[in-house]
Amino acid sequence: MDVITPQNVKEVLEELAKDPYAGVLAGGTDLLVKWKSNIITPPRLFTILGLQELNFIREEEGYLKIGPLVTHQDLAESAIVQRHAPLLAKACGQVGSLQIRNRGTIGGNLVTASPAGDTIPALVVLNASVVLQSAQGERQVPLRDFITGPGKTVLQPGELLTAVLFPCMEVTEVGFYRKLGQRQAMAISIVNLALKATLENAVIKDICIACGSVGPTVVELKKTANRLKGHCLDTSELRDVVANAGDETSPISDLRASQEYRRKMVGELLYEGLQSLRRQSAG
Amino acid sequence: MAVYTFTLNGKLTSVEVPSDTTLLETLRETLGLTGTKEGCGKGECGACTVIVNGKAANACLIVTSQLVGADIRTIEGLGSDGILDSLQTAFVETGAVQCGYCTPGMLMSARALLLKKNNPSTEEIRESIAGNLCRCTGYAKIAEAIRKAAVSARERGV
Repeated sequence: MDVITPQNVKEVLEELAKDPYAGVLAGGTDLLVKWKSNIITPPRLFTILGLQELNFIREEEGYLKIGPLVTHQDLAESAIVQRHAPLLAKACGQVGSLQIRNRGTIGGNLVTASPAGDTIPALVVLNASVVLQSAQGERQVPLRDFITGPGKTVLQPGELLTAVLFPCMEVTEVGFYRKLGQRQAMAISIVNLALKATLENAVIKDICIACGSVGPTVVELKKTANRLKGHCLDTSELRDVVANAGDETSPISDLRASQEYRRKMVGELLYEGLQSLRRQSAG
Repeated sequence: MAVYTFTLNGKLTSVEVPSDTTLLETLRETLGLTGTKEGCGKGECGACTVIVNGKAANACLIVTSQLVGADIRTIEGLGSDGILDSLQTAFVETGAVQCGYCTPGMLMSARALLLKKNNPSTEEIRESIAGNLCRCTGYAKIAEAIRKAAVSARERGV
């Protein structure tokens, strides 16, 4: 495998136009594992990790714009991210181990498109989009539409993910993120769940819920969200409202957990999330 | 084959290796620095932890061509002239070593933590080594040694 180091994004796009099936290497925490296990065998890889123009966190006109090469640890520690999207900072802090978070990038997490990807549910509830650039031009795709299956995205040969962006959270919005794994570090999620809600005097005006590891791609709990609207976070009936939330998901049984357990945990994590929102609105 | 130049344990170092050679292979096979261990080879165990630009990283998941101009520290860079550094001393005095295979990685994760925080909390110490597996299960002593090293470094004002 030949690893080539382009000097700037323009050069990457030109090279990808000539050789659209070459791989792109960022932090390598996923790609190099697959390469070592012979799951992928790209003849050529462009390593982009050194390109500072793809490593930024910017607040622009009410949006947070993040370069694909920002590492999970930098996002977890970023004051701007903690202020405008604390649930994303939380999600990034739960990825792998410190060694993995120090290398693995947010762009890599999205392009890898694992059903268990830790940042994906967080970015979906934040209404994130990705910017895809090629030698021909660029397009913006909502993250919901970007990932189409396990390891599958709409990224076309020759395209490079060059930014992730989403609206900064409003002062009336609160969020939550929780990952359930077999241990805290280095565990692949059994279930992960993100939610973002607009509250008015502890009443849910609007809510968006997304879960990972319970379907081929991220699953949004739209019916449950609709049922929750108008409910007060202080009421005791919330338990019943979220009890069957897992019915909206389609998990599999694998060596980490059974289908039934995953379904049940969706409701549990959601309930925990609603309790967290209640505390946040009170505080 | 290409030549890649980086700073290794404070010295400017050039190696000529194929572009897909991992840092771990470069350290152990090209440079003969066998203190950095290979465990799983997939970033799960942390035995190959080194410090790249001030941050802990798995040497098995970095290709050498990504390291042009980088500042790399390995276990061989701890201590000097046969004198152990404060973390190594604390590991010895605390009995934080059993079979020893995870020790270089543990020390580098701990060093990366102490580079950033001179008074880490118990939680921060545990998190700093959460990516390092010790199959002798000696984590309590390791965490204690890191805490002691932090205390002794603060007392000596370093």
